[in-house]
Amino acid sequence: MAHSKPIVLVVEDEALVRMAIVDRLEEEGFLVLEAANADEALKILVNNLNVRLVFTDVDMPGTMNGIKLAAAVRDRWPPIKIVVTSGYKHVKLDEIPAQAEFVPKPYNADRLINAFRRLTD
Amino acid sequence: MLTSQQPMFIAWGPDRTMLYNDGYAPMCTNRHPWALGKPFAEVWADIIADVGPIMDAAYAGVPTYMDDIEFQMVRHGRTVETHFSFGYTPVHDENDQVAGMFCTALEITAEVVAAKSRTRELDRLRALLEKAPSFMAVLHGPEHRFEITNAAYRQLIGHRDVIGKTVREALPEIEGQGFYELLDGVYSTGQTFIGRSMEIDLQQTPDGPLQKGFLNFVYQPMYDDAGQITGIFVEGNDVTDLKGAELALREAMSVQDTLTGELQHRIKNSLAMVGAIASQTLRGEDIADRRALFDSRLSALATAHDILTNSTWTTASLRDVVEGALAPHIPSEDRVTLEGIEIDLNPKQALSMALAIHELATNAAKYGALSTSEGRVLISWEFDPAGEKPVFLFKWAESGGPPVVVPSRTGFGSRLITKVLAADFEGKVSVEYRPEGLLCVLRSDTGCVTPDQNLAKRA
Repeated sequence: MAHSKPIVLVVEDEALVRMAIVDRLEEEGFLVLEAANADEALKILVNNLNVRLVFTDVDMPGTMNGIKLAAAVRDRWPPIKIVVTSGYKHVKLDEIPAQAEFVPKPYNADRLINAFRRLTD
Repeated sequence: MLTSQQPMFIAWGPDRTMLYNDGYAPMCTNRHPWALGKPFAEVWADIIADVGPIMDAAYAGVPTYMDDIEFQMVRHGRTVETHFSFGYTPVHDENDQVAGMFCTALEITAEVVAAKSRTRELDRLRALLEKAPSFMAVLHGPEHRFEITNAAYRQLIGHRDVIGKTVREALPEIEGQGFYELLDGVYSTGQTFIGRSMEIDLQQTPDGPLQKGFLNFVYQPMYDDAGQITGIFVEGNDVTDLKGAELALREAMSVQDTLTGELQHRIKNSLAMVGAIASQTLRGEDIADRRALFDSRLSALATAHDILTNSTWTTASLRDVVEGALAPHIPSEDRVTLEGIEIDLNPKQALSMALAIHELATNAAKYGALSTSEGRVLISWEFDPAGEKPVFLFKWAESGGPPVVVPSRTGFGSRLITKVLAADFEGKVSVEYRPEGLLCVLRSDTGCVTPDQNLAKRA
C-alpha cells in the first residue's frame, strides 16, 4: 500500500453535507477525495487508483445519478467498495449493484464510519 | 288467361263488358261473381271517376301503365283505401279499330299500407329522437343505410347529409377505425355493442379536418315482427371533454406525485443540512454556547427557506437573503450598508449565502467591526464586465472595528465560506485579514449566477 490511510471518495452535491462528512472522515483517519457529481467522481477515480471506497448520494445533477455511478464503479473498478445513500424512499435496493451497501439519509456518521472501517479493513 | 294466377280482365265491345280470371276475383271482393259479364262502368261505379279516363284512353288507343294507383273503393259496404299496379292495353279488331282492352293488375294495398305505416313510424321516431341530448341514428339493412339522425348526431358528423347513404358512403373517414366492422358484427350476430370512451377521428365540422374525439355509445340491433334484424339503433354521447378532464386530472395527480417526491427530497435534504450543521457545531465543551450557536445557524437556514418558499423554491433575491440573514445581528441601520443590483439566486446558493452571511455577521459581532460602536460593514455585489464572461463579485468588507486578529484555527464559519459557499457558486472565496478589517470576496465567472438575465432585469 502506497498510503497507510484508506482513501475514500465522497460524492455529494450538497456542499454543506459533503463538508460535514468529509471533516468527520478526515478526523477519523481517512484520506478523503470529494466530488459534487458523478462525472467529477469518475475523473477522480481514473486518476486515483488507490481509492478503496466510494460513498455516493443518489440524486445529483449531471449525466448520472448515484445508482448509475455505483454501477459504473462496480463495472470498471470491481475491487472498490460502494456505499449508496439517499433521502428518497423510492430507491429500489435491487437497482444497487451487488456488494454495494445502502444507507438511508440522514445518516448517523458514527455508524457510517464503522461501516467504512469494516469495508476498508 | 282464365287459369292464370296473374289477375287479368278484358273489357270488350262498346259496353266494355268485363270478363276476368280467378286471379282477379279477389279484387272484386263481394262484386264477384256478379261482375262477370257486366259493363265496366257498372262494376266499378264507385271509382269510375278515377279509372274511367284511363279506360277511355285505352279505348282511344292509348295504353297506360301505373305502378301505384290509389282508389277509395267500396268493399263489403265500406269505403277503403286500395292500391294497384296495373297496365291497360288496347286490343284492336281485324279492322284495326279498338274493340276492347286487356288489363293485368296487381293489388298492392297490403304492401303500400305496410310501407306507409313504416314511414309514419319512422316519422314518429324521428320526432321523438330529434331533440334528445344524446346522439342517435337509425341504420337500415346490412349496409347500414342512414334512415334517421337526430340533431345531436348531425352535430357530431358536421351536419353532413347522410340520409339514404350507407355508413361507408356517409362517413368515409372512419374507414380503418373499426366502426364499420362493429356494425357488421352487430347486424350479423344480433349482439348489442357498448363502446366506452372509444377514440374516433371524425370530421366534425363541414369540410373541416379530422378531429379526435371520445365516444360512449351503443349499437343495438332492431328487429321486425318476424324476429329478423332489420337495422341498428345507434345512441351515445361525446365524452371528449370528460376524457380531456380525466387526462388533465391524471396529469395533475402525476404532477402532485412528483411534487410530493420533490418535497420529500427537500425535507430529507434539509434534515441532512441540519445534521451537517449539528455535527459541525456541537463539538467541544461549552455546550450551552454551542447550543445557542446551533439555534442561530438553524434560524439563518430557516429564514432562507422562507424566502425560497415565497418563490415556490425557484429563486430568491440576493438582497432578501442577505437582509434576512443579517437581521438578528444588526445593531443599528447605519452600521451595515448593502449595495448591489437585483440578483436571483438558485435555492442552493440562497441557503449557503444565508449561512455564510450568518457566520460573517456572528464573527463580526464577536470579534470584528460590529463588536464596537464605530465599526461598519459594507456588503456589495456587482458584475465585473472586464474579461470574456462577466464575473460576479460579492464582497463583505469590514472597517473601523478593533485591530484585526488572524484566528488561530479555522472554524466552521470559515470552512463554510471557503468550501460550501464557493462550491455552490462554482467560484472562489478569499478571506483577507486586513488591518482595517476583514475582507471576504466571492468571485464566480461560471454560468452559475446568471448575469444576462439579471442584467436584463435591471434594465
